[in-house]
Amino acid sequence: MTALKRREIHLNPTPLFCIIMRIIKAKVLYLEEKILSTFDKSHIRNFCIIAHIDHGKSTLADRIIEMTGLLTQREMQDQILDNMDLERERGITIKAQAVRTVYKAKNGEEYILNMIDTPGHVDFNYEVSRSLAACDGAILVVDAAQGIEAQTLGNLYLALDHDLEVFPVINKIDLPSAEPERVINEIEDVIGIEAQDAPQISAKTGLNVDQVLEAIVEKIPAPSGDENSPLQALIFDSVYDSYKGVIVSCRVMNGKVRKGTKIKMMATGAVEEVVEVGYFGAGQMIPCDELSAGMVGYITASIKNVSLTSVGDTITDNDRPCDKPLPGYKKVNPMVYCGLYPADGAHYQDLRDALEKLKLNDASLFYEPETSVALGFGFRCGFLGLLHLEIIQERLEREYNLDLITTAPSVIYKVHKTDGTVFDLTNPTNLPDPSQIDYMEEPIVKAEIMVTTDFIGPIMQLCQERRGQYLGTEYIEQTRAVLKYILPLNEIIYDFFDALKSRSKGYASFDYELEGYQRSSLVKLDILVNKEEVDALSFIVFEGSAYDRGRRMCEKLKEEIPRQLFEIPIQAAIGSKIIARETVRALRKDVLAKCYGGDITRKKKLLEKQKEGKKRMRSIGNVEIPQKAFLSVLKLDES
Amino acid sequence: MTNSETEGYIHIPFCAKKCSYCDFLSFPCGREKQQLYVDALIKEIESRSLQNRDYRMRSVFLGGGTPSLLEYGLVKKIMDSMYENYDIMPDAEITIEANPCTLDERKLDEYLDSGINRISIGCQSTNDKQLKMLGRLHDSEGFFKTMNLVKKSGFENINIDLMSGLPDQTLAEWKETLCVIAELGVSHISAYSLIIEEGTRFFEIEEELNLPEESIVSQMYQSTAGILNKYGFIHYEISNYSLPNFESRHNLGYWQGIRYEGFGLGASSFEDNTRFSNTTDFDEYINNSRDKRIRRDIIKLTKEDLYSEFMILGLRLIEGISENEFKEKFNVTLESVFGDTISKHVKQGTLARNNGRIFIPEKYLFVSNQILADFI
Repeated sequence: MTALKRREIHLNPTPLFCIIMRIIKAKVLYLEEKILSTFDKSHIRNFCIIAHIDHGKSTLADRIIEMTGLLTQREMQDQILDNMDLERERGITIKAQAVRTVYKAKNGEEYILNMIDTPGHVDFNYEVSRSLAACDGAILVVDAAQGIEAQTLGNLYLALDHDLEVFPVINKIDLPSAEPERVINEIEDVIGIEAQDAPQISAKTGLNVDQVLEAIVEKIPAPSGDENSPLQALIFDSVYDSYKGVIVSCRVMNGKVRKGTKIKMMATGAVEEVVEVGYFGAGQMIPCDELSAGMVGYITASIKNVSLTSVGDTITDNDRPCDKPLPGYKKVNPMVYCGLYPADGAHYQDLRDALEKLKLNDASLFYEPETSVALGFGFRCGFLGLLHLEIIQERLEREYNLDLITTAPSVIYKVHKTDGTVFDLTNPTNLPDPSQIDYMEEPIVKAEIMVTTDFIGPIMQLCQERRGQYLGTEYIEQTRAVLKYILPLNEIIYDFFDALKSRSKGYASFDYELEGYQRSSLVKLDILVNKEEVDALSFIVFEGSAYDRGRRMCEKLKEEIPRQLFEIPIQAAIGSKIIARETVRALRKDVLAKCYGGDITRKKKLLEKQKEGKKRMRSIGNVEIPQKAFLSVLKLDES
Repeated sequence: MTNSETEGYIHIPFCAKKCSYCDFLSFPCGREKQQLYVDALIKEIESRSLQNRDYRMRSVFLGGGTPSLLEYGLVKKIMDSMYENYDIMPDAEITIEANPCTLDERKLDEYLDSGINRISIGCQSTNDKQLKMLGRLHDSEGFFKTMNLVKKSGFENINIDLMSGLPDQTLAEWKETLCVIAELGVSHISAYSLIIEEGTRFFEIEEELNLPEESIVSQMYQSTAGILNKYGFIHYEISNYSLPNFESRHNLGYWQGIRYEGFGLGASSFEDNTRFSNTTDFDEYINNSRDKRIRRDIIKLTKEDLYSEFMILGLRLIEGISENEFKEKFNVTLESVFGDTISKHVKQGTLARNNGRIFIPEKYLFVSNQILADFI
């Protein structure tokens, strides 16, 4: 009882903590006793689950949490690790998080299981690598029906790079199409790890998940590290909380940290005094006295901005610093840029405030003010990838109730000018006059596409259309192969994934990593609506694709721009040369034929609706362009 | 003294049969129900007149439905009550709507006796195939017979309703219809382009209808004023054409923001800057027509609503709106309220400005929603 009382004094009455109190009051007591008493490093297991998307990673995580008794089934909400609404809706995990549970193994001993969740998308590969670095082992989940996919391999290689002990689990064996034997062989052949005794489970029903728990204890090594050495803790996540400031998720490698420790973030140089340390229940924070070598938990220190606590940075004790930081830190830079504008110019300040708030929680989000002739005041924003862009865009619209116009996403081009200088181009409108450009470079990625052999032809064709350089094919088994390509990033950020799916009937999977830059013939394609250039629609394109892109752009805009009082020419141009044209014909009939006394209210509503529609449009000269036209033209249909 | 003038609208919700394009409040009905309805109507007239003593009535319009379906004597009864309870101006325009084949000499005499001086006939088309498709009960022969009766009876102010853009209709057919009607010697023609409204039979079967292309429909509209002009008609509102001085006073009132009182089931009123309509529940109306609680959708217009209605209704008129009138009415200049919008449209030619009036040029009337929406 005393422990509980102390806890209540610690807690601010934030909504988060009200939830904690409500859900696991009793369990806090139970868990805390455990930590304070018996556990030493040998009874800790730090691990993550890696899988291709939809192979059941989150479901397995849920089941582990549920079966180790942290939450009862009734309290269990599906996929508790993904606590952002958006994540849950999309069924993907965006931010890394960690959960501590206590498992009583068949040998009668109790173990602390620290399960560190990893983001499941290539946009967040760096965060994945830092999460992996916080672990000692990984569970590799493979779908019993689908077998190994591109991300299975991508994530596995990442895990092996971090020297993690990996053991496989065959999931979804309850599916009629499950072929566990085939998948086991595939794992052994392709990956070369032993899989004969891999647990064959159904994370959905909980079947054989107990075997997974035992395997965690048996196969994953206990953490090493010296708690008497100077503090070295790896930051693998940080989130901003308006009451506590930044909450840093970390793995303590050496030394210990407790309340009052003066910590230093070695890369950013920030020094703060620790206010609280603790660990994560299922989505909740439970304070404790100290975190020592081998432990996973959180630190708060009244830090106001996540940019001070970059993922991958090393925390040390300012008074007794370690010699050097943990390896692997890098500053994450945006890969994709686009303009974000409030649909209603009056909401510029609201957009600024919202971006500021999101930035508190997302160090990889970049933004700076920019102005567009077509769209007015807005921001040029940088993202880790297109998914990251979409997530931010949706959060702005959903959580901050903003109505946005997004301009064409652009990768970062390197422009080599004739005067010998080089600059990074993130906004097509900043492209200098062609006479000042010596040459340009574009970012490229190394892509691995896993596909059944039936679809090798169509996929190779797709990659060729996207200017891919073929590197080679590796056969995984008779019917499946990995195609390796170098592809320009620009060619894959818009609709490559959709194209891949449609050409392989959904059977292809895809993973990539940034490879560098290569020289390329690039031009700026401008779009003119009613003979006026719409700066927000300009984009950089490979010269050889310009004609086709221009034509499709015009066609798409013709569909998107409603007919108006005048005929509207839509043209695509490179410099002063028009390369494509479409025409939106003038509207011929839009009238309230009858409007007498009894009609007025109703007819006015019709006009109001029309007005609402107009509000969602931007005026370019005399022409009104719907907001969605600005983005939908980027999703140009195949062929 | 426009301020003290009001208009009266009386709704007769009865029809022998619902037309395929009609979304007005109407239904078939026998004599007894008619009697009940007229009694309730008179109660409403009596009760409302008590609150409206200060107003002189400049027009009365019996609309529907099909008012001419009312049994002998009922129209007279309604109009007697109007005269008894309202100060109807001596030169008031009093209109009744009628469908071909529902009229005879006796009814026409009754209307004239009741002070009705204008009759509006729902012809719609002179093509029998189209009439059938529209679900009308008359054919062209019936219409011409009715016209003879009406003319003989002594009505001098006659309106004909016509529809363009009908299924299977050609441009040539439409032009011919216009000529045929104009030659009948009527004083007013309302020519509506068919709009498929939700809740009508046409809405349900729209895909099966062979509607003329938009460009044809537009040509039908654009050709109308020119053809009628040859017969002396002046285009004065989006869908209305009249001989000089035969504009519908009552309808002009709607577009000029004059106060109006609507009597009867579902009828709309505009009093003291408030718009409302009566219940559409027949029994409720019969039992409580005296009671203000039958009023629905009561909307008090704000200043901004009034500005905006001044424009969207006024711009329906070919002569448009007067900047001075706006200032007199609202004590604020039109420029200060709609300056930017007007300039934008004047610049692109979609509004014209002349002698203190602002109007939509003829060629843009048929796409006027695009312009009007900017004044909401």
